[in-house]
Amino acid sequence: MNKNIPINRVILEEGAERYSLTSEILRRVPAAADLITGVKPEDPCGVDDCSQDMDKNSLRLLDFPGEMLKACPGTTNYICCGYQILHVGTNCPLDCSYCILQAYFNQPSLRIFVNLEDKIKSILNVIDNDPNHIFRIGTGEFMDSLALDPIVDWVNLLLPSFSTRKNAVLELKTKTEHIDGLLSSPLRDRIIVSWSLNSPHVSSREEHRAPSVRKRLEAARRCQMEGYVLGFHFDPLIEHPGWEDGYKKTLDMMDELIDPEGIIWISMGTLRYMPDLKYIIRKRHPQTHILDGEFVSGLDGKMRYLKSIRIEMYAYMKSLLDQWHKDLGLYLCMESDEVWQAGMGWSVKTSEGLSDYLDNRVVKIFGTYKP
Amino acid sequence: MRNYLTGCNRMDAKQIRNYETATVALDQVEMGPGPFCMSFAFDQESLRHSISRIGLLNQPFLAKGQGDGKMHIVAGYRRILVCKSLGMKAVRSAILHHDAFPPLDCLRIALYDNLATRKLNDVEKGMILSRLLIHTDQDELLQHYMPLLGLPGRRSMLDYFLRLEALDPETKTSIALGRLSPQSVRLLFDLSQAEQKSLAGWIDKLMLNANYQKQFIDFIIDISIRDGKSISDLLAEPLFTQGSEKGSVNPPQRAKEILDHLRTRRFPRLVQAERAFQRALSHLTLPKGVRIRQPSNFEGPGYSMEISFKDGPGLLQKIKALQSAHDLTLIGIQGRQKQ
Repeated sequence: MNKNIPINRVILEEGAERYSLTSEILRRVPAAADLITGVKPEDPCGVDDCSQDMDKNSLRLLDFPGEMLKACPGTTNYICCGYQILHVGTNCPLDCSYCILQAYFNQPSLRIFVNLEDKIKSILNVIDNDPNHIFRIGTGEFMDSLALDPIVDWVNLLLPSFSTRKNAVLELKTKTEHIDGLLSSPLRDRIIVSWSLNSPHVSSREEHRAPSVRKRLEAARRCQMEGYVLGFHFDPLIEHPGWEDGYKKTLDMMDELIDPEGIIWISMGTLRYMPDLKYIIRKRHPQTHILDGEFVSGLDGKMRYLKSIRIEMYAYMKSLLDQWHKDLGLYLCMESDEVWQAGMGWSVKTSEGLSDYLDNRVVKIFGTYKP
Repeated sequence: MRNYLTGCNRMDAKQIRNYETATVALDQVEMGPGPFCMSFAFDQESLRHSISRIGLLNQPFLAKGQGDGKMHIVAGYRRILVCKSLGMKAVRSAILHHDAFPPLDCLRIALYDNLATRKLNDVEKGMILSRLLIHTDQDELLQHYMPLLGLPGRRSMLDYFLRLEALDPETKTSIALGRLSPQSVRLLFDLSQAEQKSLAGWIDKLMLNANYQKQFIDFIIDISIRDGKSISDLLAEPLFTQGSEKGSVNPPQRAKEILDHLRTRRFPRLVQAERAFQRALSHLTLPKGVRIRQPSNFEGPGYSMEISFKDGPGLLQKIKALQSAHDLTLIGIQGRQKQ
């Protein structure tokens, strides 16, 4: 997506105006954008049918009353990694056909929690009060971590707090090239910049408004050259005609642009979705082919590829990635012990096992921490 | 005589008073389903029987049109159709003048008349809400009229009923007669009228229950998109046009045949794995009355076994037989390999 984020409307919920982040954001939004103030939280502001229109050109600034740091809900009956979500906003200006956020019917617009600064102190307290625990924290679960950074400047807000925490890492997960904020920051420690990757075929057809895979990797290269630790996420892996060649092209580009030594982890997860999302996807993206595969109901109620297909895809990806470098911190997102074993050739066995594995990656890359 | 509704803002607080009555020639009445009509897919027989025996008991309400001088039926559409079909030339009617009864009031009269006398089908509810929406806003529909129709005042529900109006007439008939489930109807919304008609026609023909309807539509749409083949082309394939391979079969048998075929086409690898598993099982020396099942969709971690037995000794005998069936050790391995 272009760095000129197409915001044509800013909605200020009641109470949002008293935060300094609101004033800073208002200074950065395009001058031509309409400003609507004093909006009640329940007012959809004219977006009656979110299933069709996610209102991605409106920025909605609000005082978020809930907890901003929470454990990733993960999923039941599969192995999860024990990630922590720093919930700084919801929705994203990109429009990937597979995005789960499409199912959040009652939440149109790009929502930014402007009370983040007020909450950050208590979040840091939680981290500091549990020194034996390594907090792997990310902002990219309910939105792209950097897509709106040119307007919100989260980097400047978050990096000083997290780069000084020795029992935490902050992962900024993105599909964009919005790295100017990162590059202008002097802070590197405990910060991971991650890119979500796919085959060029999937990227160009299904990840609407997102930059090409090459552009993402070029942005990653610049960050790496400037000293940032990188992560990558092949999630969702999507079966499509020629998928093996497609994903190999992406790995070839990684080989060309990225030094594998500076990667903390690479996750993989095949496409999965709640059953109702299928109909939303069909409605919002009638041309998509992501639903063509053989999806069956998983143990968590989500639709996933037939196990044999998942194993085949993971095994293929692992063999390619292993050829590139032997120590990339590969892991599977929301998979079973059996699939780990068959697809990866080994298994973390349990969610605790995966959590330990990733914590060890943190220690390996950022150094030993003793409370 | 002046006709008017008393009360103020809300229709349900108003009452009709002092309306004029007159004998109206039926050729002066617009017979098509006009702007106030709320009837769809109805059975005229009992009404015909009643009117032919004892005459018209309740007079229809007609509105005097502004332009063509024709009368529009406000309430009593079915009664007038029956009277006409019985050869009656005129009926005594209540006449509503447009200056005293604007269209929204006429719609309300029609609505309450219908609510008081019969159960409305979903298509009729959609007609009512669509017609009301011309004269009032969505919030009023959600808060006032949907509860009147026995519907929850949710926007998604309103959207559903409003969209029914645009469906193909034969599809609407299937809905009105309760042959198409709301879940299936939602899947048809974004298809062309021809596609809706074809799919609804097959659902009718195969007498599919709600669960099978959804499967059927899902399979057809998924295959159509995946294979780049139109729904019409798919439904013109021999599977549908040439009848059953087994000769004469009843609708449920035919339904199973078609759904099995579509499932195999939609999930070729899953079906292949299921068949391979069944083949492998058939080679095992299982005692009679013992069944082994694969995990659902091969997703779960374990297989299950069911043993049917008459009594304790019978059970013991089967357990002993299972203990000596050494080829059972192949089950997990075979399942994984064949999948």
